[in-house]
Amino acid sequence: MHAPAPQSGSAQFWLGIRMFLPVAVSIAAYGVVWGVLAGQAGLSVLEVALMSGLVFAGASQFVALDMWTPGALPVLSIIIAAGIINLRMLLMSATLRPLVGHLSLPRQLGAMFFVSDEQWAMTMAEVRKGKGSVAFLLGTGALSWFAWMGSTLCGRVLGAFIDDPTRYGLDFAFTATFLALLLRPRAVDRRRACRHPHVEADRGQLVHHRRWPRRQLRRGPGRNHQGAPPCRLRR
Amino acid sequence: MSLEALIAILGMAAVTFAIRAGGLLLANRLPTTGFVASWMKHVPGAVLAALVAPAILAGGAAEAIAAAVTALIYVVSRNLFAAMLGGVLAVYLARLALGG
Repeated sequence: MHAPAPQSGSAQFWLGIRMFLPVAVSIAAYGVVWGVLAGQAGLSVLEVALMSGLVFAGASQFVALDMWTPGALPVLSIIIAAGIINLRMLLMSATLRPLVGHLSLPRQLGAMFFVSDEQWAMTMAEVRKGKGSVAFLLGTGALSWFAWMGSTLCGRVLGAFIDDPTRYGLDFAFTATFLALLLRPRAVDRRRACRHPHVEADRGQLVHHRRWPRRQLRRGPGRNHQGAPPCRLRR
Repeated sequence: MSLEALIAILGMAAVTFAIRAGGLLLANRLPTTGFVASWMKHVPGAVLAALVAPAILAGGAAEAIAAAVTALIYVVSRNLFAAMLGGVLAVYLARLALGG
């Protein structure tokens, strides 16, 4: 069990939304890009809505577009590629178990639906400070879902007005986005870089996570017992 | 919407949710060190590299310049959107300049 959050659930939910707002703007920016590219790849508005709403995982959606050839869709390859790209989330949702452990299983699984790089990183940063809660997780998750859904749909609709994408260099948007994603410090690496007590001391036994938020509270929010600086969310 | 598109999207959604749920359910059994753990961390990067490399290598000088501009902007600003815009703008200008 984690230490009780200092605020009520709905306050934590709204705090999550407020804190996540700048990140949501950048999510929306590449959501628009994805939507434009989805239109070029031949996805309909309905397909965009279904994929963004149900898959809700940017990197794998970009890769799916690259493989999207209407009429002869490599269905199995697309699904396997999504699995490989998203495999990193296995480690991310594992670290959230202490936070959601007290909920019923369906609710725990429901909360996991929102796990994504930025949202996970911000929630874990809060947990590290001895704050963070399920409501915070859901607030950031809800905002990130609406930002992604809204922006990809916008991009798809706006993209319909661009007749020849190569004329404006828009065909390069794919490559540029992938290149930047490639250079992005990975969320799981960031966790390790912060040198958390559980990684160093417990040699990766995630079950010991359960203890550390409370430990962190007693020690104050500043530094953990290894003297590593607290993690900051980097984008 | 075609049936194959629907199956592809639902399949992606199912696989992705299974991973999100699986991490939670297997939390105590997942390796956090060693080969499997590092493989899981680095495979998305490898896949992205495999997608980026052909596009840059198959392109001409304009694409190479734009790739360098994109990387530079991203490393400096850490902003995906700025990097994408800069890359698109660079490839547009480079193609104009090089007449490609």
